[in-house]
Amino acid sequence: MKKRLLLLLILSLVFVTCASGCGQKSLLNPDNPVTLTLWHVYGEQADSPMNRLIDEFNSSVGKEKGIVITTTLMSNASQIGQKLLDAQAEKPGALDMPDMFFCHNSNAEELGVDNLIDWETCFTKDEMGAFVSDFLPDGMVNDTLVVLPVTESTQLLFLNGTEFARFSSAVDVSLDDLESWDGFFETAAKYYDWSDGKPFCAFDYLLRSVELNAISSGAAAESLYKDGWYDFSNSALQTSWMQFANALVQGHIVISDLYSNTQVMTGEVAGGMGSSASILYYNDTVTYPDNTTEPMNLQILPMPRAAGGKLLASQAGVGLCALKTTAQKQEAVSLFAHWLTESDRNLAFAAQTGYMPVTYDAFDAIKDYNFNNAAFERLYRTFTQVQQSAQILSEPAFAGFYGKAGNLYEALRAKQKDYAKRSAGGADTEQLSEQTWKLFQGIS
Amino acid sequence: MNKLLGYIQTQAGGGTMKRKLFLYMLLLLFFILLVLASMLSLMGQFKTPKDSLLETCELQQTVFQKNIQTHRNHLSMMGIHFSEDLSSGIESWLSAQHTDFSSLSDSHKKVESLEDFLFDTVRQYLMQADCSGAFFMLDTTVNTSAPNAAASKSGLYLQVNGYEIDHREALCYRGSSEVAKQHGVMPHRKWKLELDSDIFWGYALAAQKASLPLDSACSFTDFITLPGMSERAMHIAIPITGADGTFYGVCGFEVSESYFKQIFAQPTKLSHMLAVLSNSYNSDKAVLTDFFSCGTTNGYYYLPKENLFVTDFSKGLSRFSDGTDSYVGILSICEDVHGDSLFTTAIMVPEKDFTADSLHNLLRLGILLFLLVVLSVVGCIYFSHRFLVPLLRSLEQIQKGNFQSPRINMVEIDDLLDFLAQKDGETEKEIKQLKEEINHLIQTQNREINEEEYRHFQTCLASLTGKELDIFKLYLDGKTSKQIQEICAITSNTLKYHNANIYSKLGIKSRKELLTYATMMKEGKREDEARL
Repeated sequence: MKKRLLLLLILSLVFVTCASGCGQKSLLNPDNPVTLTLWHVYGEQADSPMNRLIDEFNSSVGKEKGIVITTTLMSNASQIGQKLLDAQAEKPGALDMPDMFFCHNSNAEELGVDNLIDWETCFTKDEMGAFVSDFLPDGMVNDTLVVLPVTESTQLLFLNGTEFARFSSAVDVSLDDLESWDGFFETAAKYYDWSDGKPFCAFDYLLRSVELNAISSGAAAESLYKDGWYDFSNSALQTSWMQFANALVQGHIVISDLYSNTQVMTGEVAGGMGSSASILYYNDTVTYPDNTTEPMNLQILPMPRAAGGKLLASQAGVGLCALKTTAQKQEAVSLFAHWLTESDRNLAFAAQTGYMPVTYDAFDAIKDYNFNNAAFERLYRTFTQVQQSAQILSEPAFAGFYGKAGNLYEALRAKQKDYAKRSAGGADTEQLSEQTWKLFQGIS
Repeated sequence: MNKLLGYIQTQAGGGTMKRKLFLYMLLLLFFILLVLASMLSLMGQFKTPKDSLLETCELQQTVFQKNIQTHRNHLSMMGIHFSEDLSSGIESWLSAQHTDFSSLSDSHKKVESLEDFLFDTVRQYLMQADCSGAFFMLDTTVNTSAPNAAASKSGLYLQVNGYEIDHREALCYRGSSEVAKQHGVMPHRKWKLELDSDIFWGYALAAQKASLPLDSACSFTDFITLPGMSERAMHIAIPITGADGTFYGVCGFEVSESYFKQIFAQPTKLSHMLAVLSNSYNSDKAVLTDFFSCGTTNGYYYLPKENLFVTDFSKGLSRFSDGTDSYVGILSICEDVHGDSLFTTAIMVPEKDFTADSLHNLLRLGILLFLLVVLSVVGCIYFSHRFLVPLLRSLEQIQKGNFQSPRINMVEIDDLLDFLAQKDGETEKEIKQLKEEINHLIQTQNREINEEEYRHFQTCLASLTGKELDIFKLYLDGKTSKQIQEICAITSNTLKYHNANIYSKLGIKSRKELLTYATMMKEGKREDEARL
């Protein structure tokens, strides 16, 4: 009995010694702070709520614990992946690889999961439980959570409200017509005629609309893809594509120059289909070439659905990744990630940037949030509507997918004016649409 | 110095050689250190942390100011060429269109055509100059009936998108988006058609200088927050005038805060240094209110808040405080190369860092002094010991009269020992001679003494009492009357009484006679012992 008691005592001592020695000693030193470089995508070319957040972190928790975060690049979600690959390859002229960055999970996969921190080593199971569970799978690459969801976006239809009101009072259309793709294309055709040949809508990510239309019509999401790109033998995909192609070749819709919001702001188009986060870039006014301006009165609608189909919403967004470097940096990164995803902060940040928050608490608090901008209030009303009634679908996450999509948009952008010209000149729209399908198939 | 030496002399006056030597050596060390410190101080090598900070800040300030001046000079020079090229471009276009400048008003088609014509010129200057944006604003608008038309100016404003080294991509911040896209440049996400001269007030500044030669017409603006962005920027503005003096508008460059931070980041050894540029510092109010800042090339700094109050710190250094954090450094106002505008620069480090450095230096100095004192004391003890031990041994031998002890390789002591040994030999010789002389004298005297009386003396010794015999022996041992009184514990009268009895019994008349006979008896015994 005595021997057992002694053994227990020794084991307890060993455990206490290990626990105190191995675990909790911080590697951070407020007198000699560690510097973390960051690349992000929030507010490129404009006001950056992320930079303000970083200033807040540096002057509070960072100062207290010994962490300084420096933004060394503000980019956008479609370009940051290539820039990261260039930096990793140390290409001449490329910036140094950052310690933390925001990117898609396909970008993370290209960078190599082994090079990135597994967030499940930084967050406890309880802490992970605070995240909206639908968002976490998007951050997994090879069963490792390397992309931490910080915000999520969806694709929405942004309309120049003043222009649409003028249009709807002249032609018998309403916002309700934009609930279905059929109604949308009819409205686009009417607008084209009414405006003497102006496209109704510019698309930032046309392929996502094509996919969701096909799925909304009944196709299985996974049937649309093959070998990291599209399965061109899928008839639902082709049917959906042809609907959009038909509108595109007639000039009713266009592929955006890069961001549809600039085309809405210059009055080139009445609306733009793009990320919810593009609200940050919309001006309050539309400015026409003769420098007349009018209020934007931005209207925000969910993406249309197939006639009789389910309402679907795309879920996209970059997340936070961190390079595996030193233990000290890993501790600093973990501290920042915890701070960034605290519910109150997550909601405030999402509300300023046009994203959806990622924690349950933040989501519940949206309805009571005090927005100081009418457009943002409308955006979050639409978010709630989407959240309540739409089925959320993640974007495809194949390595190299966004590069191929970019090539397709580039090719269509180069030809779309010519298609519209030929169509207006009497060319067969079916044949022109077929050409776009072949062009789509040619991208590999 | 003499006083100190006197003090040591006094303090160690009754002390040992060891103590004296130790104190003198310590004094010497102190003196050497004092001279060394004075020399270092004279040569400028002995500095306080404040001196060091001031010197480093001044050096950094010189480099930073030179960078700013060179950059501003470069932008001025490029601006003059930019203005000349735009002026020539506008006149070429007007000539080709067979129209005049006033026809641009209310004609967005013509303005678009002119922007198209000048687009590549603007983009070329954007890429060549060290700037984040290049622009021109024409003295016209495409819509005179639009609200705020008087301030609205047609023109082009291109910005660099991101500051990556591998590519500089242009964005159209202001100007025709259609023209920009035709030239492969995307509109900025906060694009607008025209520039508002109430916001881009470099226009008014340059317009006032339209009649001056271009060399004197460059103006740098204060910092503005670019509309639609959180980015702040300053502009250099130069008027565009025609060959006949017609004022066409204003052109110039933008330097954004982000770009400034990137290109002016300083290589430095200062910890968490902050370099600041202001175009509007008011020395009377002593507040830096509107400034750009940059840090070190591979480090960081904490961005101060809006207002930095400047107060004197010490030794030419100033304290900069934003109410929460404070910095220590220097501030100076200087002129552009052309001397037409002033700018203020400041170099500073967080006061917390400076205090920590000072404490660190103090601690280091304390440890150094402690080590010096310990080493000096130990050194003095060791060397005085090494020097004095053989010396003291020799003195001890001298004290014992052993002049033949081994020599210690100290010339003075060895010579002294030799001298003493020689003297000792001579003395012994003299003593021997003296003894011989004494013997001779005794023998001579013996011969002169009455044999009869001597025999009587010897015979009558047995008649002395015990006490008288003791006194007699004490006389023979050479004791004085006083010593005998003390030894025998008797008074002088008692001694006189015993003396009288001894004299009478031995038949002598004085102590001298008694001692003479006693010495003869001793000598006689010694000779008998020697014979045996």
